[in-house]
Amino acid sequence: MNNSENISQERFERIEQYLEGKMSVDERSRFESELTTDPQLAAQLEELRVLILGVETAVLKDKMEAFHADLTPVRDIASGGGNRSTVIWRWSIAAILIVAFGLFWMLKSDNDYEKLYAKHFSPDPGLPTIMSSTANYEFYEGMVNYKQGDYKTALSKWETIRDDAMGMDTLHYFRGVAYLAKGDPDNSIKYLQPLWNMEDNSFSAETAHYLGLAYLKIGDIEEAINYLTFSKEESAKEILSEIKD
Amino acid sequence: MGNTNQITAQLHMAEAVKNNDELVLKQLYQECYGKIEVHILKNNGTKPQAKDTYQEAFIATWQNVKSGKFVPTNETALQGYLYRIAKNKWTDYLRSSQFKKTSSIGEGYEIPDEFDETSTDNIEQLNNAMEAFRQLGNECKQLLTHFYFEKKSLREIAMAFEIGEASARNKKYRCINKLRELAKTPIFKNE
Repeated sequence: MNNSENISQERFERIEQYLEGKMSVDERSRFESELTTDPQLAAQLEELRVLILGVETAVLKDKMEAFHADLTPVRDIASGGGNRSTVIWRWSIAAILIVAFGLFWMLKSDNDYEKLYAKHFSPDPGLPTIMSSTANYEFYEGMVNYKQGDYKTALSKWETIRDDAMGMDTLHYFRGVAYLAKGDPDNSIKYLQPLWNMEDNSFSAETAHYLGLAYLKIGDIEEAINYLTFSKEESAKEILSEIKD
Repeated sequence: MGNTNQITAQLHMAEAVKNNDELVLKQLYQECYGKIEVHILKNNGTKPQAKDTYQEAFIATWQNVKSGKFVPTNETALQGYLYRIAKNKWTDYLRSSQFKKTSSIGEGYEIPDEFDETSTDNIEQLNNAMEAFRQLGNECKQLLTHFYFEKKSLREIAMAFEIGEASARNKKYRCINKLRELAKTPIFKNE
């Protein structure tokens, strides 16, 4: 392409108007017929088209860096497993606390724990639903049901979602909480327990909290104390002190 | 929610992408990245490779929406399209000799039987233009960004630079000429 010649300001602005789609129908068809007879105009049009696209693409590239820096870190699925020492450390603290509380909770009846559970359980408020975010459409559709307290429908919508679609932690976490809210602590534990052992779970403290509540509900106080000690919720501290009382 | 509404939403989204609406671009970028990263990490890739592949795919999607090569037709069209391009780009990479020299595709890896819709613009000239833009002075860079990326009017640009509309217009012409000059004499090295 011969692009060494000067383009007058007038001509440049005309080409630009064409590229930006700012010409009237008449002007446009006149311009297009000129293009067929004036190869220089056609070459200049192509040159400016690529230049302007270059400007936009360069700006977009910079913007993408900013979008990327602003991403919530995505788990490195290749690493897998978990950090053994973190897990062991967590359990040692729990063990010490069990001994501390041990003397007290043995005297309580199952009914007391059920009441304690009912007093302190409230489901996670859920994630904001962006209905336009259709890649995770199924998930957010279920989230709407979840927020309406229709856990059964939410769970059935989440059933078919693959683990990698949403991030395994998000999916398992909300499944776990939904089962618990539905009054099914056993299934809740099935989802939350593996999540707790997973490194990089973004819902770590929350997972501990609901696992604790699930065990409280089934009356397994030893396990309940284990997990509740890792919860950051005020109510977890209250439960622990009430178990003690 | 009706299907028609979702298609309308997709068309709005495509329109916003065409106009470089930053919020929409950001939402689309962030919404689809995780899925691509998981795919690439599962298929012999690294995080930096995932990022590069995804960004290439994002630009191709954006270009194809802008040029009208791609028009969404269903509720997940744009996201699905972006995902497909990224996946195909990664498959191409795995098939390429560069990759085969150092590794072999693991058993069970499926090469998707999908068409490639990557934009076929004149890559070399586009790269020259981008490099030239990077070399421009700050004022021209800002002015051209406002005008061509942010689609601001001459009047808005004139106000932002506290100059008259006529001089904003002249400045733009001078900046474009500077850009043409730089793009014609690429002095950058291959990176």
